[in-house]
Amino acid sequence: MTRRARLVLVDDDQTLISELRAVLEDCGLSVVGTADDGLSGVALCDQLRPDLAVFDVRMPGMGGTEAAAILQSRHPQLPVVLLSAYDDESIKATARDCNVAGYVVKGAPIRELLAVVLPIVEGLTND
Amino acid sequence: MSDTSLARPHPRRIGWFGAAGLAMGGSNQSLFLIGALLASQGSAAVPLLAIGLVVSWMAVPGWIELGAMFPDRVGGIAATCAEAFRPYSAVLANLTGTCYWWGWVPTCGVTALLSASALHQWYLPGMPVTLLAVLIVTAFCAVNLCGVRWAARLAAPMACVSAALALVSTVAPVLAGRVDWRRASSFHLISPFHGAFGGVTSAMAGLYLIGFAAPAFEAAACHVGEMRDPDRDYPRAMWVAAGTATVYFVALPVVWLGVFGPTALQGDLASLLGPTFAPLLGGLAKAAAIWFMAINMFHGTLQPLSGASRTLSQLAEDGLLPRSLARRLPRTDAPYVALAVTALASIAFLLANDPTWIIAAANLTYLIGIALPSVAVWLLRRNEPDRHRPYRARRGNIVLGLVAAAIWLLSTMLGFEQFGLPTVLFGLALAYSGAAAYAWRTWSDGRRAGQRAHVRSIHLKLTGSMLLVLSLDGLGYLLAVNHVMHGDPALVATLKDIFVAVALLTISVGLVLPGMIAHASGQVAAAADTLANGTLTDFTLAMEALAGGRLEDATADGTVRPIVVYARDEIGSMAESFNTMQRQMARAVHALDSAREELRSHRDNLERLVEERTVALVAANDHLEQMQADRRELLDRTVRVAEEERSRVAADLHDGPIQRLAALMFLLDRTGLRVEREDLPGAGELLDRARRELEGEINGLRRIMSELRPPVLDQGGLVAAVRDLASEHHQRTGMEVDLDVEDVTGLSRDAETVLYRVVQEALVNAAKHSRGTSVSVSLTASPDGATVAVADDGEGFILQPGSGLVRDGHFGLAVMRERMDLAGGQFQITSVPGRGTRVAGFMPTTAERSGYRTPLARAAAARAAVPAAVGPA
Repeated sequence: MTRRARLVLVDDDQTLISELRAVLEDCGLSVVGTADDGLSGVALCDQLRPDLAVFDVRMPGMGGTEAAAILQSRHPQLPVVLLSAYDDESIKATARDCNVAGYVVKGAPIRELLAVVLPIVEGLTND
Repeated sequence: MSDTSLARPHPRRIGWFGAAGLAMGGSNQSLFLIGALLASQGSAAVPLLAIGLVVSWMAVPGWIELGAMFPDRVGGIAATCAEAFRPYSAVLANLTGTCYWWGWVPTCGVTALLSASALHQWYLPGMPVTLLAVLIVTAFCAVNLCGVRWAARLAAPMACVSAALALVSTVAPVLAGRVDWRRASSFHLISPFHGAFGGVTSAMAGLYLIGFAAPAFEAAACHVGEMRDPDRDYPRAMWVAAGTATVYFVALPVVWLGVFGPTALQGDLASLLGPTFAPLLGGLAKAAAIWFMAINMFHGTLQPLSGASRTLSQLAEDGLLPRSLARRLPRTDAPYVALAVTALASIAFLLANDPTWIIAAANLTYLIGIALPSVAVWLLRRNEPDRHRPYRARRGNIVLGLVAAAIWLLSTMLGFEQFGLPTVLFGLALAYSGAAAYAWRTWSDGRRAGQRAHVRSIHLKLTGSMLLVLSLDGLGYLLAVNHVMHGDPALVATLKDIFVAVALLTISVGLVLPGMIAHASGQVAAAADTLANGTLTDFTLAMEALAGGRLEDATADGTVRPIVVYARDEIGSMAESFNTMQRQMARAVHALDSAREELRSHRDNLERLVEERTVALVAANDHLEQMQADRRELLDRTVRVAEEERSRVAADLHDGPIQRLAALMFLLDRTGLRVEREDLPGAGELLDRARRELEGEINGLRRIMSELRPPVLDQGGLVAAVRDLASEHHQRTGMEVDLDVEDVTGLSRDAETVLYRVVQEALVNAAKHSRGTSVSVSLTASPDGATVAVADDGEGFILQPGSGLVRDGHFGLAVMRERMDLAGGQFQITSVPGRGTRVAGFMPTTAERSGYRTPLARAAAARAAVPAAVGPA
């Protein structure tokens, strides 16, 4: 059976989280939890076991790349997508090193994020 | 006189009594003189004795003055002459001393012979008189070896007994009425030939012998250097001895003449004098007479051994006689070599039986020895009038002394020849003997100093010539006397007188004059040597040192050692020229000293100046290095701050606009989804939200832009910008702001920005650090620029004078100043703890700034213009 994919969103900007959550839910995805820094984001993932996590790269305390690296070791099947204000090759390279599922620049249309997220969640939810 | 002086002080062991006791040994001479005098001069011998006594009295005050002037010397007035004759002639000093000594030696022998014959006659008939006399001399020699104290201890009781017996012998016959006063006063002079010349000659011969009265007056002077308190003891001993002499030379002969008559009195006094003691001593009178004579003769032997030996040793110490004569026993201070020589000479005379002609020859030398001291006293008065004189004779006494000396010399010339040619020749030999000893000493001193003897000296040449003259004169005299008709004794006497006069002249011309010349020229030669090899060489070396810049070595000894030459002849002028040369040299040395000191002072000033300049340069360099370091640190900090500012702006953009715009994009995406789902009211609602969000974002971006560069500065100018800052400060902090701004023109955009930043930074500081409640902000225009000032009423702080703002951690202020400086302005900060802080900046107008100066020059000008640039005003 088909179920709605469960997502966790982690970003220190509450306005952006709420707008992202609204648009993702409008697109049929389920946002099961949000956090405002990397550490609590990782804890949320441990707790909720979402289908996919979206992390902001630059946050107070732990950033998205560090969190992705931790999750990679703890939950290798958990795809992590990084969302960043920087369109910077060095950050992208770091992200690739952490085997993240995707890297999307903030301010791009939602379809670019969906283009990364949807193929992943469709594969998961069809099982 | 030689410089090899051996003089050293004597222990002071006797007082006036001991000295007078020893000196009394001179009085007894009347006892053996009287017989000889009566034989040759008849009863006129007594008034002659009185005259001789008066002559001695005339000389005494001068002698006391002379001896007291040199209280460390011994050997009598003749030895003391060495001091007075030093500037004239060493030979003259030697002649005086040696002649004096010769005068004493035969007396020593003859008294020993007389006492020995008395002992032989009355007590020791088996012992030969000569052996006894030698033993007596030896015994008294041994006493003298024990030192002057023991000699005085022996002499004083002998003198007392002798004086007491003399008194008895004078007074007792008078009291007993045994004196025939007519016989005592009927004086009759025996003349060798008729006429006045015969009388004068006879009287002079008497006076000549009576010169022997003088020892009683001057013998105390032999021990001045050994007296405990010479200033007191010496004159006292002299007066006491002179008083006793009066008894011996006048009272005794007059009474005895009255008792015994002139003929009987020529006999043996020891056998004769008994009756004079008899009225008082009765049966002891005979023994008293014998012992009176014996004691007096003992005394006459003891005294010369003590006094005359010291004359030799003193002259040897003065460099006038061989060195060995100066030797003294360390314990007793006895001059043992001189004593031995004196004793041996006395023994030699007594072995020769001391005939009258020898005594008379010795008298020649003795009269020279006592005449010259009076001349010495007079010379010292003339040459050294200001010298210290513990005893000062009246001026008339000095002249009387000279008169006495003249009488003695005249009596020598006219009386000497009475005793025959052997006397004359022997006397002359004795007088010359001292010169030979002096020559020996001079030669040995020269050899010690490694000098060659001057065989061809003026002295030797003149003395040799005079001896030749003397020989020729003697030869002429003998030839003349042998061809004179017998029975013309007056002519013979005249010839003898002429010979004696020539002989005495040869002494003065042959010994004294060349001695004086040699002494004076020696002084001049020594001075010339000192000048040439000492001062001049010094001076040359000093000048070379000066030329070479070695100021420390540029010294010369300019001590003037004046040559003391009292000759008023060519040598005197030469000596004066040398003295003038020395004085000129001393002036040159003084000038050299002044020049050296002047140079040294200039050099020191220069060195000090260089040192000061170096210190100033080092300080300036340090200051520059510090400024450089401050500037470097400031630059680092500025770069860091700029980088931080960029990071902050980047972070602001990241956290603000980017997030907002990304969210807005998601909002628009949702709006698009609603449009696709044809939910147009929902889409419109979201679109309205998006518009509001976008508006907010634009405002946010504008705020960031304003913070980066206040637009009011560009649009409203510095005045408006400062007003905005003040108002914003009041709103933000609540501090009272007292604003006073004037319109300014002519400032460049950069200058306005710099002044704006000064006000901005100062207000931030006032808010953050001052803890004040109000702040005054002013902007004042001046023809050459504009000044901003911000003063708070806060705590203030201590600005360390001299230290930099950077080093004290006031980076904001340091940046302000640096910006002002680089922009060509001036910056001033004053702060007093408790009275707030005032920050002021001045920027010139564009026109003023066109006269651009280097930063260093500007800094210097700023320091000069604003003395309180750093530190509390």
